[in-house]
Formats: sequence, C-alpha cells, structure tokens
Amino acid sequence: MFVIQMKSGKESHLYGASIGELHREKILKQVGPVLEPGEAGEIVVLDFTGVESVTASYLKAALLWFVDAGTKAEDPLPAERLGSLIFPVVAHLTDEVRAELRELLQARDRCCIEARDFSAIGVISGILHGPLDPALEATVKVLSDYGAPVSAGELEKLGKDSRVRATGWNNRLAQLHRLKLVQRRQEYRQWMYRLVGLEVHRG
Amino acid sequence: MVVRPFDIDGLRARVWAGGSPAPFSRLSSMAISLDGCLELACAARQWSTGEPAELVARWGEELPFVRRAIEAFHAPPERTHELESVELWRIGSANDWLDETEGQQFLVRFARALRHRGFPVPFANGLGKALAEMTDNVLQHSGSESRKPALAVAGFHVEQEWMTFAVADTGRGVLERLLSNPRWANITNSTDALAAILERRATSRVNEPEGHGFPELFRALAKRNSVLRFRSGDGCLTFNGALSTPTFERASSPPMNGFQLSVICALKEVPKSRSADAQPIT
Repeated sequence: MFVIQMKSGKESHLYGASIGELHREKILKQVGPVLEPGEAGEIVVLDFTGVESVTASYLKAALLWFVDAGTKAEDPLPAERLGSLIFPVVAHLTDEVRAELRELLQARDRCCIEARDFSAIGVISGILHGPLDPALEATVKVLSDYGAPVSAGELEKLGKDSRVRATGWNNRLAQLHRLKLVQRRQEYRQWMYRLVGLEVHRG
Repeated sequence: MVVRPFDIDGLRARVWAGGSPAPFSRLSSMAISLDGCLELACAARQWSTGEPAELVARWGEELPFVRRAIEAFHAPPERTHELESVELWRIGSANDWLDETEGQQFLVRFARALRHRGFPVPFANGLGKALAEMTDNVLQHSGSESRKPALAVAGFHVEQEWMTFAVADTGRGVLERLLSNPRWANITNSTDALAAILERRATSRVNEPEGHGFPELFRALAKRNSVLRFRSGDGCLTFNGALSTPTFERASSPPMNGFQLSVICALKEVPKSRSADAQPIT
C-alpha cells in the first residue's frame, strides 16, 4: 500500500484539472514501477492532510481518473493500464473537501472510500461515499462483516442472503471490483475478493 | 468629470470597420473596467499591424491601464502588475499553480483582497475557486495542447463590497475547441458554442459527460448581484444574476481570437445594467 501526500508544498488549495493531472502523474510515477498486470493491484491512500479546499475538476483529474481508468476504452493507453491497477482511497479530508467529493461522486455516480484508520499494511476502517446500488451496498456490508478475502462460492455457502447464488455473488463482486471498492486475486480456479478497507461503513 | 459607460464591443467594432479615431479623444472620460482593458489588450495582440495597430496604440496613450494589460501579455509568467486593489497576471504553465509560485500567490492575494473589502470568507473562497477554474480552463483548452496555453492574462479589481475578475486568452476560441468532440459537431457558431458550454455543460473532452469549471463559477455566484460576460469568436453571452429570472442574453461581437470572460459582483447594490455597474480603472 502507498500513502501519497497531496499537499506537497505550501499550497493548501488544490484547484483545477491541471494540478490534478500533475498530481496524477506523480502518483503513477511513484506507484507504477511496482504494478504488475494480472496482480490484485495496489491500494493508494491519497492523504489530504493540510489541504483546506479542492475543486471538482481537481478531484476528477487526481482521484476519479483512477476509479475510471481502463474501464472505458477497449485498448487502454499505457497510463490507463497502470491506473486500472490502482485502488484509490482518500484520507484526512476537511469538511469542505469531503463536501466537494460527495457532490462530485453523486454527479458522476461513483463511490470512494475515505480511510479513517490505516497503517502501512492496509486500510483498517473507512467510510463509503457516493451512491451505490442497494444490492452492492449490501454486499459491501457482507464483505466488511466477514473481514477476510472470500470467493463468490464461499459467500453462497455462508448463506448471507439465501436468494443469491454463487453466480449472483460473482456478478456483484465483479461490479464492486470495477468500482475499485474491492480487490481480487486469482487462487486456483476462483477469484478471491476483499474490500479495499477491512471495515467499511456508509458515511 | 462625467464618467460614461465604456462600450468595449462598440469601440472594437469601429476599429474593425476601419473606423474613425474620433472616439479616442473621449476615452479618458469614459469608465473602462478591467474586462474592457483585457479585451482591448487581446485586440492589440491580434491587430499588431496596419491601421488598426496604430489605433490600438492610441488606447495605450489614452488609457494607462490598457497599456499595462498589453504589456502583461509580453511579461514573463512570474511577473505581476499591482495597482493597489488591481492586479494582472500573465497565465504561465500548470507548474505555476504549485507550491508558492506566482499563480498560487495571485489567488491568495485575490482572496485576501476580497476578505479585506467586506466579502464574507465562504463567498471569498468560492470566488477564489471560480477564478482558479477559469484560469485553469486557459491552461487546459486555449493552446494546441493541454497545459500549453496560448498567451493569456488574468486580473482582478476589488473595491469595498464590489469586485470584478477577468480572464482573457488569445487562443483557439470556444467553437474550435468544442468541435474537437464529435458530440458537439452540429454547432456552427461561437454564440451557440458559448451557450452549450455554459447552459448545457458541454465539454471538449470526448470521455467526459460534462464540464466542471463553469458550474463552479455559477455556484459561487448563485443568488448574487452579479453580471457575467463571455466572449469568443464573434459571439457574446451575458448573464445578469440580479434579474428575477436570470437568463443568458445573446449578442454578437466583432470577431476576435480566443476566449474572454469577466465577472462583476456587488454585495449589496443591485446593478441596473452591466456598463453602469462597471467601475473604472484610472
């Protein structure tokens, strides 16, 4: 896991797509060398300590780009391929930054986890921002309660929702993976999924 | 001295048509605002030869601040022009917005000037964001490549409970930029292009559903006594937020490269008309 300080100098206001793009390039440069196609990818905590305010354009370029990376084009550009392996999480938001983020997520129908507690190893607890389909939200809760990597087949066996079979769980988990809320790793012939944070609740 | 409203489009139209220099004798008695200065400076950049150039040179003689605006286009990016509550800054590159560079400092001074002249902190912050977004638009869209902007200048003028800011570039203009997105290929003129980006959040980015810069501007100025002017190519839109039902007013403008915008906002008084509300720079 990487923790990137978004306030690199004395600027406490991050405005505009241009700064967002510069910060995005910094993240790709820093994290890119360790990314391996086919692996689960890296959680990257964007730490906003000391940042008082941001604009939607900045968040779109520096954060949302990673959520969307690799999902639109059939043959993504090299940067997008790297970006698709980055699972962004935000931390240490001021109320103003959080309000801006929530508004943007609502407008773009995207989600993001704000880390409340994290270490060098991973995100221990976080809150979920942005709209999410009720079935997917319920799946996030199941994963958060379970607290360990799990496959769709195991979720069926656990009987967390008797109406949902393994295929249904698989579809839900794949969607959460596309939204960058869960990571996945192939073990033998099945995908194992885990939430980007150990414990995640609705913010 | 009787201060009369300054008609930016009218003056440029006269020069465009090879008009008489007669109006220039009255320039110093007219109220020229920041947006007028920057638009005239853009015209000076465009009309750098022949008779228009000679006429434009006279603006500088009659109006010192227009001369400063013209100079600002030639200044290195880090240079600023300060005249008490008025400041100009030549927009450089995206790197100018990082750390303690001039771009950041320009915004900091703008927000400080607003707070010192009676603007509530949240409103001052919102206006700071709006100016930053408008300046970033220049970085993103005015040049042939993103973050390689055309020559451009931003400026602000803040008085007690009154302010204006303006951003003017000499680049590609809104129509050409918007047409790079096939979704907007049916737009044929600059006024419609302006209307699309302002009213329908049109963006030139193919993979983006909508733009975010102008909503930031309108959000900052919601329900305020404000007048906004947007000019590009031969199109012009003005928005009077003080009206009971604010709408965009379409107008034509003598052709000129680039995109120029200005915002005038008064905290208390309701502006009767845009030009009457514009405060002169002397």
